[in-house]
Amino acid sequence: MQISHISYYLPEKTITNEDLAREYEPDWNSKKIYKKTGIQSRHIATTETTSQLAAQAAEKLFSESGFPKDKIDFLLLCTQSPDYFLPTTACIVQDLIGLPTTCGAFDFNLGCSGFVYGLVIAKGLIRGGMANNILLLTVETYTKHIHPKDKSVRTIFGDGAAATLITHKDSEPCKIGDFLFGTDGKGAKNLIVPAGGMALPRSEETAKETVDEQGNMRSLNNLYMNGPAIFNFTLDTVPGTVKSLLKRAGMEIKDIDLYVFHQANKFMLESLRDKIGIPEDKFYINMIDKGNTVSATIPIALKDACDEGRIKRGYKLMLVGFGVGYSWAGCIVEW
Amino acid sequence: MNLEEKLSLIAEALDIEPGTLKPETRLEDLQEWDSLGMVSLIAMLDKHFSVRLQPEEIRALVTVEDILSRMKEGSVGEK
Repeated sequence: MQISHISYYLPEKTITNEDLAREYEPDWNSKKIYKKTGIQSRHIATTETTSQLAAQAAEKLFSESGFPKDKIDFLLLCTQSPDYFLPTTACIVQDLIGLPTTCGAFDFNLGCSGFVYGLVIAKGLIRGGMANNILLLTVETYTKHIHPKDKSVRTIFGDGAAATLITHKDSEPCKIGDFLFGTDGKGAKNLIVPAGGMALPRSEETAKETVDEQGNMRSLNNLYMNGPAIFNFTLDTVPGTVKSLLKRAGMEIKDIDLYVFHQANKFMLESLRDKIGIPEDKFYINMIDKGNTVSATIPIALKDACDEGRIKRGYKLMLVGFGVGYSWAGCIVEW
Repeated sequence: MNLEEKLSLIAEALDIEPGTLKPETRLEDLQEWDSLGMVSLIAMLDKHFSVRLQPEEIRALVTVEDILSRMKEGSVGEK
């Protein structure tokens, strides 16, 4: 089995650092935003829903790859912004893009670790003999959860959808390798939309806006991120995950051709790279015009890296997703 | 590492003009003391002093002196 093709779709509207700086001046300027986050602009879904973004990415994949839709036997959709609590967004997408009704389909709710979890679900389905051609859609519209006056998250997140085709033929070797997972629910409160689910339904009360010590405004209906806590979590967790995964695979740092981590923000990534000891030329960072698209960042980065010639056939890649939950997962794939 | 070098590291982390920080400077008076500044500080302390500040410890920081007191060389990582 292997990753056969990746395509992605970004909504049309963009917000640049200059746009944000105009709203937030004089406190923040566009150079500072770029320096810390590595982001110059991000795409925003306005009226488009998750299913529509997902469908766009999927159609692009079929068009670019030429792979026939009627051969897809399973659809996996990762999102934390479903169209509805029910029905499953994957069911809606199956209909939108015209996959066969013999196809299995379900959503799974993960963020930054979602793509790697998606790969392991696909591997399990294939290894179990239950599917051969899997469409994995990682789609996110975090900006719809974000308060316009919350600088802490508005500068970082962008919307987007990636479609990944995972295929298997008996004659081919397995190129999706070792995995490692982790979960720590103690971190749940550090990246959360507190209201709107069953634990705390939306109300007049949850819509009340407050301003934090840094001057960021939000309500319980909006995304909240404790940046320092998340940063500590990544420094605590990711280096060990990388080392354990290498050990599991019987490899060393130098044996991986390119490390593609969840594109959280440039500062965090560079801190991790430095701490783990990965050479710059083996570490991919590119979020300048996309921002943090959550579960879509890794497949988007893989696609871009490929187009830029940073990944060649036969390359050993390490993919690590980490964040909201807390949830994390890493894997090694051969391109 | 002397005081000037430590102040320089803090200034670099917070993206502030070197030479403008004093031990008595109050963090709340610095425009750069925001979530991005805090994250940069965590990274600097971790890298140079093997000290990891938890969010509640960051909230407790009032002055630059409070940061300086955590910058002890040869720290056993407080993780």
